[in-house]
Amino acid sequence: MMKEEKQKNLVEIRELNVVYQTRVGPVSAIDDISMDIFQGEILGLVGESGCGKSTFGKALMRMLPDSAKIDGKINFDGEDVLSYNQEQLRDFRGRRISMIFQDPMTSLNPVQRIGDHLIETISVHEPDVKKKSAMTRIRTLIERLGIQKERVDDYPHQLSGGMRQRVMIGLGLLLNPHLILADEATTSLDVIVEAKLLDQLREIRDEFGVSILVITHNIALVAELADRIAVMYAGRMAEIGSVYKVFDEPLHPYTQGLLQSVPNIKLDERETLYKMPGEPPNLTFPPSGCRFHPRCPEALPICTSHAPSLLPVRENQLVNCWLYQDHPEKERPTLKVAS
Amino acid sequence: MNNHENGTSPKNGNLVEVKDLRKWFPVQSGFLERIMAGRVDYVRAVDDVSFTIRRGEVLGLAGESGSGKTTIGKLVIRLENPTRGTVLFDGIDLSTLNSDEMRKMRRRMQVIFQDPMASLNPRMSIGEAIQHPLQIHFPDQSKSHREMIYQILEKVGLGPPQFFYEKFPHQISGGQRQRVVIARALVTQPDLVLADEPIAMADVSVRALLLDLMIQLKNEFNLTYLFITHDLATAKYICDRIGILYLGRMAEIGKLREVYSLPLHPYTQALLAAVPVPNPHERRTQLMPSGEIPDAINPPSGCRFHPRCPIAQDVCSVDIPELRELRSGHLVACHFAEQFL
Repeated sequence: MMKEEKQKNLVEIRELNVVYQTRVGPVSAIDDISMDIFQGEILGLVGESGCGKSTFGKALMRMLPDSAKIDGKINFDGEDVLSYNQEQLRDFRGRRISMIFQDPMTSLNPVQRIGDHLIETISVHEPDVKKKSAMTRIRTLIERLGIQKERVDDYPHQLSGGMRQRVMIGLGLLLNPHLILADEATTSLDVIVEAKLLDQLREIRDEFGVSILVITHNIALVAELADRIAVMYAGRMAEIGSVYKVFDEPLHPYTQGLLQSVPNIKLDERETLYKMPGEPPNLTFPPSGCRFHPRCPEALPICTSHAPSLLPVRENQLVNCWLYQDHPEKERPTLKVAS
Repeated sequence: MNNHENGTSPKNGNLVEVKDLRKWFPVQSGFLERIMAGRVDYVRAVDDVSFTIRRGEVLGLAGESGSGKTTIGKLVIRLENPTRGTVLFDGIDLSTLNSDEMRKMRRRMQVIFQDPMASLNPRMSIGEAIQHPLQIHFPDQSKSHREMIYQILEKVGLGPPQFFYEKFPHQISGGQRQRVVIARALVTQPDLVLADEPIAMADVSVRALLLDLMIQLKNEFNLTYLFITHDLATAKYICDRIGILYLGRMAEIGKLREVYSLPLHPYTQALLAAVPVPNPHERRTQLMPSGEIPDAINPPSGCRFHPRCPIAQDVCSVDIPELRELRSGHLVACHFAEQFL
């Protein structure tokens, strides 16, 4: 686990906005998100479909389509990613940030040997490296991931599903990136295979010290794997904090409802799931004020007109909710949360 | 049409009895290959599976991909014909029915699939979609169809029904679409509903509502569910009994609470341990079984789990373990399960 004292920021995101231009009008998929990703942490980003979590990942990699308008700041290792030109971007992707995809069978080329996939990655990013020394590097990496080095001459179909998934991780790790993005990387996997992949992600973080951003709709998986959890709702960050803090005592009403509606396989846990009223909003016409207010059991008058901000409420826990913030319409003083 | 309802037939209270069910799919191969090999290979999707579903219960079938759970569901309502074995529905052997009789029988067995968008015709309004089964099964009551549709729409929480009747699938939300699929399945007043991953596509906050709806409708209409899922955590909230499948065979079956509290098959134990728990204080410490699910064309001999099993002995690679009742109503197919009692 991570020491909480000396956390350095790897990524600093400030006032990030992403708007997609569509035929029916602009869709505000990311609305004013400011947050940090720490060095060497596993951050789990959760939310329901359409909440903007994949857009967030794509914005980090600058892989948004042309129809998306992005502004704000993304500082990665102190450099402004949004100001990169195409050449800088190519270098940035792969070497500084890389991605693990969901389905290894569709992501690997069936007529290319495992070694060739990996060589290609090196030769694109480091054209000066000789093939021989690249192969040595590849063999070492592959062995560290638990695949025999002879398997670099195999084709993808000759490997088992778990090995293919490890090759995918290898591709992501090859250039020693600082951040690995796993967007629903385990979603189509069976539970036992998924459990093994989670073990591997944890191992590579421990061994390589890389930060991992896991984007998923599976909240239990974040409890299992991550150091911190970030909860998104309708394009905004509702709550961010250490998994222990947030799972033990969620503060945002959305997080509270969400966590109570997650099925738990343990028999002694509560027997019914919380039934959250309504469904996530359409982001073409997002609700005014706090976007959660139509479904919120604790909505205040101000919630319908003004959006709150994501502010620290206690150590390692930031919440985007008027319940914990002062505002002019407040009749009672802000709820103080015992830390 | 209703003479089988209200428990008049089978004395034992079983709505479905599945005996030695087998489905082998021939592997597509070239003519020359077949001649050279001198045989046809089969994918052994379902291999000698037996179980019963009691009237009014929810039986879950769980397993990883390739375990045969979806094929079993299709065999039970005869969307596929078995290679061997029988399915008795309300005491009637489905394989003895001709297509006309089978079509009549289908009124009593309906199905809900995973993806509501794929289950609904985008060019049919909600009303038309639900009317379709009524036209097939109740053609002589066409005057009251609209009334029946309004009623079922209200039952599944899509009110006012006049409003939803006219809508098209793309005009409503994902959760509402799955409610339409449920309404369409229930409008023929079935006895058995096959629900194949019915809520896997829905968002967490919507799932609980759909599960609740399914339980409520089951109680109101005396339904029996065959609930097929890969999600063992969700199964806990709806299933009375659960069967765990591995590579086409039943590994373990029993009351869900008993199977979850004392799993007797090493595979069930691994499967339950692998499911992440939404509590960071309870992270998994168990090791996962080595290897992966083998090929269903050449499954391992003896117990199919033996190459990955932590307690396997020589006999496991030779003898196929029978499902044995080690606790009341709790059956397990493992030679050495006694040690877990």
